[in-house]
Amino acid sequence: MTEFALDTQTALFIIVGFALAWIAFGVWLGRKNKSHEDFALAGRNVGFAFAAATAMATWVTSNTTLVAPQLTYQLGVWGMVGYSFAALGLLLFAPMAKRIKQLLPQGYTSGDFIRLRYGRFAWAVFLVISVVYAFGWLVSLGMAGGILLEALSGLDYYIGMTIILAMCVGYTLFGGLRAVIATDFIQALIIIVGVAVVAYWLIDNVGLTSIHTELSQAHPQLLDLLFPAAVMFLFNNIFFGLGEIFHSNVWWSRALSFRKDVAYKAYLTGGLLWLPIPIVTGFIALAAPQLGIFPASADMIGPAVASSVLGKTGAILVFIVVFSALASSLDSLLAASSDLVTQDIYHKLIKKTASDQQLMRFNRYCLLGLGVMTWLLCLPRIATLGALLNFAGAFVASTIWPIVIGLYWRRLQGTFAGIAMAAGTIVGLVAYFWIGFYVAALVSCAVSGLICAIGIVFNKRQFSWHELQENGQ
Amino acid sequence: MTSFQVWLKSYNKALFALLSILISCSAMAQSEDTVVLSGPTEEVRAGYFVVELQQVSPALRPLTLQVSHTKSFSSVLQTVPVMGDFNQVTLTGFESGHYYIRAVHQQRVVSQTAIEVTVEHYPIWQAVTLFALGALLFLLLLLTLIMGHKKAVRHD
Repeated sequence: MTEFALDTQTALFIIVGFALAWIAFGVWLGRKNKSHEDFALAGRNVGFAFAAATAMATWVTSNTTLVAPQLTYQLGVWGMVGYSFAALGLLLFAPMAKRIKQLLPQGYTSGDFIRLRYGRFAWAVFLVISVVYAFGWLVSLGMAGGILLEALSGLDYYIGMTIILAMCVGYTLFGGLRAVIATDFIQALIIIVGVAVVAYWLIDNVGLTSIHTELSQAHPQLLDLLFPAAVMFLFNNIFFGLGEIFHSNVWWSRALSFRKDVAYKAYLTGGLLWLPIPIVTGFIALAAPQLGIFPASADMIGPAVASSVLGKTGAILVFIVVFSALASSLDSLLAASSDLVTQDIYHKLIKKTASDQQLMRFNRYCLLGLGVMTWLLCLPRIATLGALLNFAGAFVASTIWPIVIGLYWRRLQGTFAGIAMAAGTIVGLVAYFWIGFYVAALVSCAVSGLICAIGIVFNKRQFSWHELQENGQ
Repeated sequence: MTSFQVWLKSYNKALFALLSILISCSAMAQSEDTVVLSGPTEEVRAGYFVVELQQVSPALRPLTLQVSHTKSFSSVLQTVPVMGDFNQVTLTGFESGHYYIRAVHQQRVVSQTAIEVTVEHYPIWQAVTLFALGALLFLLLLLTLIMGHKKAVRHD
């Protein structure tokens, strides 16, 4: 019989306690939501501390707590350092967030920008990419929640997955983006403290010298800076991270909800706070051989080492940290995706004359619907977290160039931007299946960039920034 | 058919049944005593791989895997404990080369045969080419972003 790091009753007690507390907090925060703008963008009035915390906490996903140690276990030091380079996404988005706020002071979503800047063809391609990515991420997070709770405590997959989804839908439904950002702030503190405690206890108990000696003797490749697969993985991971952040409404809706002049500093601070987290979670995996821990599946390595070093206290700590990481990403993605559907599909295509209250009502129904659809898709455990995410790399990396060029330069037009995103995605997917996951995002970004460059050379018309101001805003 | 022939036929049938029972009992006893290992059949390109264990009876826990460069296991490179009652182990950090893996329970070899795994890393030129392409693309993106940002600040 498998011995779990945490008994099921304790896990259930923690998870139900957290769920009730967060939902109550969401209801309390939701009292201030009087309009759709309040609900979707927290009144566009989020201050620096909350802004930086939500940027950092949302980027700390189940990937940071599970996949960073997994990649370190598989690819060694480069896996750990390479994963931390995903912070570049937040750091480089900082100036872009400032520009977004400047160009679209009354905008709602990333889709708004693509539609106004590039027209309907590019917008349609962009929406397909966004939907594929959002569902891939939502389903992978829901599944990761269920799998992780089951691995740590033996709690049934369906129960764990259902509770975590119901909790996130619950507090976002009542509190909107305000609740998402406020809970992110608390979750960010829990994550930072939890990860730091595990790393400190690890160094104190196992010691750096003994870890290095064990790795040098039995697993030398993990310390090799010329590890070929790891060298290949490095830039692919960077482009994947950049694509995720640059295109996703999760980050655009935050940029639009922050107070004026806060976005730049908040994303910069969030990125710098996030940077060491994969190093710390990855380092945990390097200690595994010294502790005699060789997991059944590589993504179990982080929780397995933490539980081994810290015992039951460690298991509870890991449980809470990972639970917070999952919740902080799930709620953000649910809110941002329902905003995208409400604004880009319902308001722009189905009911252009919808009132503010109708938009808010639709947004809530949409959120609930997304939660139910995610739950249904999570039921069959269709794929692993890694498989789902790597596949999405080919999609999101194709949006990097059209977004960066579209924000700052006027020469690129819609047809080329649309073709760049579509061709980048298709060629990236071909590379994913023919070569491997470690080149999909890189190839997608390169192809999309090349088409954008051709588009700039051949296009004579200059875009007017005033066209971004819709309905006389 | 004489009565002797009938008796002989019945005797043969009984003997055959007895032998069949004995053989199946022996096979069952052997399967409870041994583990079947399986690993990657193709070359491993990134230094990590999964070894699967089949027919592991509870009596064989705790189980460990031994890794060696030689089929005779004259020198053991690594001894890897199998976690809990899982039926697979992810091994990592291997340099290019041939490795043999067998299962051991209380210093007794319990795997029917040792498996052979070949690790052959990607050529470094291939990795460096992709790295250089990525670095160039990233540099271009960075320059575009910096120039765009400076232009936007100037126009503020």
